[in-house]
Amino acid sequence: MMIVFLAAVISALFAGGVFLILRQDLIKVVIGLALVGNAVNLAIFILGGWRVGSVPIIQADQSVLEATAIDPLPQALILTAIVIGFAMQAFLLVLARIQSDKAKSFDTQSLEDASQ
Amino acid sequence: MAAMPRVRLARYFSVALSAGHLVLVSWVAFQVLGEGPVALQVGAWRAPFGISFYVDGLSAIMLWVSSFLALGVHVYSLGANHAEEDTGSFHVFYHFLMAGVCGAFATSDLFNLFVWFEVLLISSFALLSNSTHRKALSGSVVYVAINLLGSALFVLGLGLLYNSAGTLNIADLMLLRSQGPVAPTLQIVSALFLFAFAMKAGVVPLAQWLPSSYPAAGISALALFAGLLTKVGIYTLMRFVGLGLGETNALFMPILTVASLATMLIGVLGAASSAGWRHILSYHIVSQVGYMALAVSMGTVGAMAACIFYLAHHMVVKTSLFLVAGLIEKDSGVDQLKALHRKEALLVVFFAIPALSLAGLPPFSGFWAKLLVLREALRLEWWTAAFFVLLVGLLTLFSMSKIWSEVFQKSAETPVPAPRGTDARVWLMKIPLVVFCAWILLLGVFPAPFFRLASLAAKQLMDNAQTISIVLPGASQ
Repeated sequence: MMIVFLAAVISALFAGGVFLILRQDLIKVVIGLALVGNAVNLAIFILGGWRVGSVPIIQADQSVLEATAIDPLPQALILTAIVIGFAMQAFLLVLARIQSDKAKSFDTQSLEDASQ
Repeated sequence: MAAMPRVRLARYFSVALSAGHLVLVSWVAFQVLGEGPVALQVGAWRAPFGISFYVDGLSAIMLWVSSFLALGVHVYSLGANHAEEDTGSFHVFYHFLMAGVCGAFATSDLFNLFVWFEVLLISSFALLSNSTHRKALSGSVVYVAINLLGSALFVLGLGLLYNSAGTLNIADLMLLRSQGPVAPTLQIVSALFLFAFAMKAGVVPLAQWLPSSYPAAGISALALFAGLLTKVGIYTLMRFVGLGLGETNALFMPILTVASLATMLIGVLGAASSAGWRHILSYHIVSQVGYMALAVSMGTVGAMAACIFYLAHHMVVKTSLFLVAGLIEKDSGVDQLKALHRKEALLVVFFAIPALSLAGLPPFSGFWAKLLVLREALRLEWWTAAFFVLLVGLLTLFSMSKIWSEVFQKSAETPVPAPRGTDARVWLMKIPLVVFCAWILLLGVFPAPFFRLASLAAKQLMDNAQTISIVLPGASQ
């Protein structure tokens, strides 16, 4: 049941993200890309295998991960993807800021006109 | 405005680093092409738990040609002395770009490949938006947005792949594939990877970002992008097909074939109908990527050898064309153009050699590259593909003559108002062009030795058993 709900959330995030990427306002494009990134990260989290109540952490009295614990690797992948996405969004926001200085708005069409 | 001695010293040091890099890569390539592929486990963690690096013939060739190009463009930028290259960030991101490209060529782990993609991506963002071109900003936005989308889908594919295969190591995936039928989920993975790699390579219908964003870049950055970035996409497509996962999805190869034919045609038609050499040459990149994608979609060892030859030819040709066009742009005003080509016959030669090579005329490298692709198409009896190869070659020649008349007879695009470095050393800008033209002629007149290397590399690419034995020694078959 939970997985159906999560799949619906991921789909909604993807749909919203793609919708926003196609908008004219540059800030909305950035938010859309962030949403798509989040949807993908959530998808990897589910795909990595998850069980309620199970964590990929070595227990206090053990020295290796239990065989029944879930796989920690996908969560490392997600962390990498989050960090990379964060850097990209920061870059895009700076670009948007420079644009708004030049064209006095965040509209991509106005940027096209301003650069003619 | 002469640069201060310290800044000049820093620039020379940066170029010296590129030269040192080429030396190291030559050593690796020499060893790999002579003795066989090598593998490296980062941190000495055993594969497939650690990250593996695997350099075989294909990687070695790609590494070498990339470093060769990078040094040439770096020397050129030293001579061109553009204001945008005066900033420290140009050299930093130049080296980061090369790090990303070389990492992508050398790695044998798909997630590591994603990380290297992002390294080279963000470096290219920085180089692109550093440009003083008036369209740099809007071009950057397009470039960034579509590349982020492609990366997101790549990572999604990686997640699905990990879920169904349990590993992201290329050699391990080869091992799994040889042990039995693959999970149906891999069909979706193939589709997502095809999307992501085709987008990076510039395959239609995911190619419009290229002519929309490349023309806004500064010359040195543009020459580097043209020669390297899309080729990383082609390289990953080759690796993916060599991995054998191209067959998990019955539609993968047919879609790639149709897309590559469309790419060839649409690219060259876009070039023939564009104005301004930046746009024309950008569309040519798309068209030539179509040739390479066609070779990849054929899937045979011969086709892979043809693709490798085409890569080595095309990377140098494309970069040279952009460098020459930049050289002309730099030296000229509107009225000086005709006078320029009368007194600078060398410039005409510098343009003619790569241009005719791109069109596929003997005795240049492009002739053999196109011939190899054509031969493979005929051998497989793909008559439509062969027809497209010839047709697009003809149209490329037509659009090249259009560039010729545009660049040498008149100037349709007003020169970029970059502050003209009055102490631009033109001789420094010409040295890399001389070397690149020599390479083009060399490949054109003596293609056999290189074709032998390319065939060797293609065999190593498709030989999964050898890869497994080197990266995962002691793995059970």
